[in-house]
Amino acid sequence: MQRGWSKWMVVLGILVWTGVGAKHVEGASLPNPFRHRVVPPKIPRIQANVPTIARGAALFARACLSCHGPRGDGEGFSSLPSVTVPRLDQLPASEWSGKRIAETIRNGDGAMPTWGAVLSPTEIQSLTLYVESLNHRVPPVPKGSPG
Amino acid sequence: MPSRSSRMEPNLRMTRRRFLMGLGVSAGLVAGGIFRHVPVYANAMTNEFPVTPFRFVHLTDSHLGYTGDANREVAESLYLALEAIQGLTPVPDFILMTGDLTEMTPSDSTRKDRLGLFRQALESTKIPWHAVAGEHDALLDRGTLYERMIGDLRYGFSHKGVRFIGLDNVSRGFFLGRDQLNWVKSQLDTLDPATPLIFFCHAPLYNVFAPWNWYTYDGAALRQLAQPFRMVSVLYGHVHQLITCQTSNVYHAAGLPTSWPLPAPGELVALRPWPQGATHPYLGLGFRVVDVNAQGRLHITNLSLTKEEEVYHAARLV
Repeated sequence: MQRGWSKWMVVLGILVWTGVGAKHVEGASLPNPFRHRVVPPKIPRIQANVPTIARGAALFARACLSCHGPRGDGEGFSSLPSVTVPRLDQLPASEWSGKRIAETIRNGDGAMPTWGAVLSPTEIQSLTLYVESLNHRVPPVPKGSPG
Repeated sequence: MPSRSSRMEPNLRMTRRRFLMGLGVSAGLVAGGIFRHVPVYANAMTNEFPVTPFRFVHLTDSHLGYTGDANREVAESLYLALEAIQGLTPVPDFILMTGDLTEMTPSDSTRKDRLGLFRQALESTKIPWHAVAGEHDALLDRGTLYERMIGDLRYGFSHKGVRFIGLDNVSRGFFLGRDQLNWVKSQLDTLDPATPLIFFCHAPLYNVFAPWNWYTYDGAALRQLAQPFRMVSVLYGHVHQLITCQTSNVYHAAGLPTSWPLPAPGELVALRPWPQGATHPYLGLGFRVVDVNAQGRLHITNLSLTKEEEVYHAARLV
């Protein structure tokens, strides 16, 4: 009699351990020692129509690196005769505003392609942010500040 | 052990009488022309679109006007190729030139002269020709002079059942752009998917090696448009060497240049040509003969300008 009970207890134990009949919990497909109820909060995704430096970096690697070089210093892998590729890491802030950079990417200039024919405005803005980030522009010091 | 035939159902068992009877019936069907319809039907399945076999030549990257060590006589190399093309039997129906007709120059008048020289050279062969621009011809002025001296930057034509579409993936940068993709779509919408399609352009329509600008930024969008077509080929130049690749239903093939060869892609170094060798000045230079058969398939033979090495690359059926 006792032997019969113990057999059923073992079966019940297995069912509990494997979670048969239990409600769905997060990570239920994992083996028991690794199952957890603590689910990390989802990282909010950045909307596709928001320009970001990261997207600009990816676009730069695909579209600009060949001529402007991986660092944007004009040391590219592909060159054309009589074409001097400008450095993008030494653009004077006084001459090269974000608006002008974006316009040059969009409409081209000489051997510079007219990327507006293929890239979206958001992509152009992302590239602009990335090119701006290549320039370590010193923020203007307010007048009358100490030192 | 019972034989295999004896294990079969009695009405399925092959006997000498049944075999001879079947043979007689088959002979009767053949004599009556019933079996003769079978190959005709099979042929109709593979060749819905009528193609008359023909030959054309793929020429690329002549870089007229170049002065330097990579090729000390670019015009001479082009004339050698044209001479060889004129000597082909049968003579090709036309020559297809896939860009970089001339070497890049900032001077409009020099570019105009070089484009004129190319036109004159091709017209001297008396063989019809079609061309697309390379970045050397068209990037600096967005193809304005090229259009005036040579013709449209993008266009299509049909020849003996094959549709040819010339693309511009250089005049504004290494991309096709939204306008051109819409134009290609409008062209393809009117075609039967059984029509053999040949795109010809300067830069490759897939990513050969982007750091050397050996790619088309939105080439994947064009390949997507060509998805319903059964036989799609892309003939291109720009890479100055024989490179072939199959992407889904599209076969890509770069032609031999007449100017100078370039290194194989893959090394992350600046792209530079080698100086022309004194002993083998035409090594890696040539052109391609394409024979289109009745099924619209391409039989490609690459010919070198090196006389002692006539067939540079084995013929290939695409």
